[in-house]
Formats: sequence, C-alpha cells, structure tokens
Amino acid sequence: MGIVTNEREYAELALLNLDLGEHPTETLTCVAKLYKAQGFSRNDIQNRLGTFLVRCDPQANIVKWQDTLTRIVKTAFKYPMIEINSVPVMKSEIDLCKTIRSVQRQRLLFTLICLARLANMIKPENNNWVNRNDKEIFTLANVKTVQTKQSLLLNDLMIAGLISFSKKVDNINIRVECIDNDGEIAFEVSDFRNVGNQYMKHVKGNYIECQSCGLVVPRTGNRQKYCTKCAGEVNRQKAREYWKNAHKVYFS
Amino acid sequence: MPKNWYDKGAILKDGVADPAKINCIVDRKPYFMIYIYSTLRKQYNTYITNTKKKAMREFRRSLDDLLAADPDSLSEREREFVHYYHVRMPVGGSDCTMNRICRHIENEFDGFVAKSKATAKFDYTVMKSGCRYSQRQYKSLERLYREYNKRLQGFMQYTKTERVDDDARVAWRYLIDNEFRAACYALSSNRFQLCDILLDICYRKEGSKAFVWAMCADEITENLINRNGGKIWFPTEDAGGDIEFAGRRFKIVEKMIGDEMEWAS
Repeated sequence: MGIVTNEREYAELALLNLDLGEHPTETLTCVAKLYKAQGFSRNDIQNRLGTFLVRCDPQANIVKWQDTLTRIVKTAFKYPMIEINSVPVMKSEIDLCKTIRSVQRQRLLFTLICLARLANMIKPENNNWVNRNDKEIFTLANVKTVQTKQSLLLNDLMIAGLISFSKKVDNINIRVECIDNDGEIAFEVSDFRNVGNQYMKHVKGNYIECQSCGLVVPRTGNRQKYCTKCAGEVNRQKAREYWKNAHKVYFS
Repeated sequence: MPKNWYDKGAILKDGVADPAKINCIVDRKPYFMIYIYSTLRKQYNTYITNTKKKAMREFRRSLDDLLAADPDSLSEREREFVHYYHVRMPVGGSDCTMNRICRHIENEFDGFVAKSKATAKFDYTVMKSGCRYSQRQYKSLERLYREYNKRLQGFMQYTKTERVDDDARVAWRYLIDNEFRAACYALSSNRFQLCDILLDICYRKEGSKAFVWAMCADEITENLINRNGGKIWFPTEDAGGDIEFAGRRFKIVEKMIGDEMEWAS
C-alpha cells in the first residue's frame, strides 16, 4: 500500500474496485474514515465495513473480524481523514541536499525532508519528526544497503547537523533539522513511492516517469516509456492485439 | 499483591525511597520468561534491535562494543546510553538460577540449526512413484499449495496469539488438512499421481514441505518401501544390541513388508 496521502481518493478507489489491497486493515480504516466523512453513525459504519469486507473476500469470517472492525471504527473517529495532494519541497532544501557528498546521502536526506513535511502536514505539532521504520525510509529513498551501512549513513547526516535523534535509548525516530518553511517551492512530491528517484530526476534528469503508472525509474534507453512491470504488461497487450488482428478471420 | 512490590512509583510516592526496597522491587519479568511469554519476547527483541541501531547511529559503535568498553573510556553521552540501556531493559538479567540455565542452553544450541544443515542436496525423487501428470494439474495444485500455506500461517499465528491448547490445535489442523485433501483429490483422483505432483511442487523450490506430508504421507512411505523391495529396517530393544540409547540397548532388525501393501501402478 505504501504511504497514502489522499485517503478519500484511496477509499473511493477501493470501494469501486472492491479491493482490500495488501493491507486490509489500513484499507478498511480509510473506508471507515470516508463513511465517517459522509455522516454515518458508528454502527452504520461497522455494518457497511462488514458488507464491504464480505464483498471483497467472500470467504472472510465476519465473526472473527468483529473486534478488528470495532477498533477500526474507533480509529476512524479518533483521527481525521488525510487529504494531502502533494508535499512541497523548497529550493533551499534541494540546494542543501546537493551540497552533501554522496548521492545515497542526498537521496536519504531528501526522503527524510519529504516524510517530515508530510508528517507536519498531517499533524502540525509534529515538529519535523519522522517515525517510520528504516526499511520503509530506505525503500522510499531508493537506497539499497545493509542495516549497518544504513545506520552509518544516518550518523553522517547527524554529524553534519542535518538530523538528530531522540534521547531515549530504544527510540529510533529521526528529527529533520533542516526544514525551511519560508523558502521558494522547487517542486512538489505527490507520489510517495520512489522519492529518491524523484529527487534524482529533478537534479540529474536521467530518470523517466512511467506513462502507465507514474513511477519514476532510471532511464535505460532513449525510447523508454514505461517501468519494467508496465512494459511487460504493455508488450503482452500489444502481442494480444497483434494476434487478434493477424487472426481477424476467426473473430469476424 | 501490594503495589510497592512491583511499582517503583508507589515507593517513590511515599517520600524518600529506601534503596533496599528499590533493589527488591519486581518491576520486570526475569530474562528466561521470554521463552514463556511471546509478547515479552517480542518486546525484548524489539528493544535489543532498536538499541543496537541507535548505538550505531549515534556513536558509530556496536552495542556490544559499548557494553564491553571500560566506562572511563566512554564519553558522557555514551555512559548515559549504557546506563539507560540497563535501566530500560524490559527483562531482568540478574544471575538467578533459571537465567543461568537459560543462558547455558542458549550458548549450547547457538547456531545449532545452521551447523547441522546438510551439505549434499537431497534427492526427493526417491519418494516418487513415477506417475505422469499434466501441466494443468500441476498449476491447479500449486495454487492450492499457496492457499494452504497462507491458511496454515494464519492458523499458526492465531493459535500462538490466543495460546490455543494442543488438543484444539490438532483437531483444527485435522479439519484444515481434510478440507484440502478433498480439494486435492478433486484435482487428481490417483493418490500416487497426486503424491508425485505435490512432491514436485514442494521440493523443487525452497519452501514449506508441510503440504505434501499432510496430504500424502502414506503414499510417500509406500513409495519408499516399494523402491526398497518391501524391506524395512528398524531398531528394536535387545540386551545384546550394539546401539545404546537412553540407557537401553537396541539392534537393527530387517522385515519384509509386501502382500498387504497396495503398490503404485
């Protein structure tokens, strides 16, 4: 599922496609928030969630899901719906990223800035904290490295004074110290999938946006239009159409 | 139970705390209990993972390195880190008898599974009967295999979190197996053919082998006996035997199994 910045859009899409996604609880929470926004009562929302769940997965045991659904409804009433279309990144922040020595560190800092900004937009009193797990942060930053190296990369940023950590020994949240709220907007991040690649596209340019799914991937050829996954699907679609045209006589 | 037995706050609330009372407080479970309570184990593991990460992030030093270092050689922040590492530890690591037994067993079995891994590749075809089957049957059963694994994973998780007793677990597992056995026979009615397909599905790739053993354990045994000309060897208790186990002596006996078996065609 990744990071959902617009829960309304996500819930409407889930209701339309009857799709629970990879994380059913998160999808159901978004749907519950949508129902809440539409003015339904707690009981109505729970019943509707049950119906939606069974329509998506007819084998789901609704009795076993009751406690989870109650918890989801409670969460929907506790937290407001997130409706953020894009996260702005300032020019000064991009310039700061460019001054860092390695590309991996640049991508990581850029991702942390985006995540801190997103968290600030969701909760204004967040104070630039990022409380996501390392795996998620490094996947978003498109930095593939071992755990020890991840910690060392973060240490480099800490020494440079760009981030800081909590004082608690077992708290691994990160505070971004270089957020600029009053600068000139350089560009806006609306897709929280390959944030590191989006930075690279903005800075270096040798990256493309897939024409099918919008994912930013490294350019590997001059005629490249799609990401690997979509390219396979488009090729299959073309082959099907070619086969259909070549055997038109059977279909007429 | 009086609150001041397990709550540090309750002692401190009364005014000046008696250091003897603070030392006797039971505010955390002992270390060995991580093998009894899964929630405590998770809490402990998360704590250790996070502190290891934090030590590397903040000091570029591993946690073990920090703990082993002489306190005088550490910076003030490092000393503070080590102090709070012990203070916030979710389990008590004192040298009580149970903790010592637990650590001894841990050291004894550390890396045991990794060391005991077979180097030679297992040839699973010895368990097959050699029946032919279609690609369609293979694909359908592969789908069923994935579904079984998913279901079993969910089931195991449920039994673990709910601490379901063994009898109920076995009964439920039996029901799940029966349900999937019926689905398997609907796709391949020849039990030896089914066994071959499932062996190929489970043993060609790395992954769970539970499905084939749950569905076709009898067929695998029959195939192995058949391949061995109906002969089986097993240990039996004998005072003059050459194998010693659990204080008794055993010897290997050979037996022919034949007429009562239904062989694969």
